[in-house]
Amino acid sequence: MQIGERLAVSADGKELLFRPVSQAEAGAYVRARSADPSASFDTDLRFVSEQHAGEPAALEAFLSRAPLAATEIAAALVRQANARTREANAVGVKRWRRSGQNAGQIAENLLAFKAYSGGDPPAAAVAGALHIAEWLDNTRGIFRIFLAVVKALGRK
Amino acid sequence: MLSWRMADLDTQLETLKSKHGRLVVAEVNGHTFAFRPLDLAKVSEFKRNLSKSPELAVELSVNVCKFLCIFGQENLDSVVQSCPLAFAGGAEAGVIDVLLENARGGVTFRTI
Repeated sequence: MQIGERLAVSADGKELLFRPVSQAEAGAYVRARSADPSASFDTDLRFVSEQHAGEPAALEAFLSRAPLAATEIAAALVRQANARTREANAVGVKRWRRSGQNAGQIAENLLAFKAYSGGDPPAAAVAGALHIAEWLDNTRGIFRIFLAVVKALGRK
Repeated sequence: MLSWRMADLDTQLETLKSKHGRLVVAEVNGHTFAFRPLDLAKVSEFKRNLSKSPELAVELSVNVCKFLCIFGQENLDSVVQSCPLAFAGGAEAGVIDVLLENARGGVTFRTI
């Protein structure tokens, strides 16, 4: 998570700041909202209150004038988290492509993947996952060739 | 007489506006109504009820309008009976739609 990347929300000349949301937090919010649609607005309010980086009174005053802004702010925070994840994944893919010939970097990526325990994945962990996926794919490919050879020998 | 009544109406609305902030003023069937803004508690209650009983959308919307009406209440019930969709909305926006739109606050976002 990059420090300083906050969401600023403006309305009627007032501005509020919100902390960046991790992919795990965004996922938990979306799941909570889907689990109880009748309380979706209350879920939005709770989520927005948790992410507000300022005085609670300021948020309360803001939302008393524009209550439905809570839903829009929550959606913007989730969009921001998704955009950061896409960016992190793109960095991970670039890192994986560059490390394809470098055994040291491959090892580093695999160790990062092994150490990954949830939350926002760092670029090295994404690269490690892609290496493993590539090996599995190659292994499947090799196995299919092996099966084809065995079948061909069986027909003879 | 008509201009005096209109001036009196404007004065009353200005007084209400200074007390409640932004108002939604609607003229339906020749009657003028003014509605105060939706607050957090009312929005939460409305959304919850609407989610639980979407088939009662018109009744719920009309109830919210009745709750928020601060001018013209004496004619509201009869006008609601004859023109419910002016308040609940439908193919065209009603009072509830304007109230909800105002409750969004016209927020803008930027990343800093």
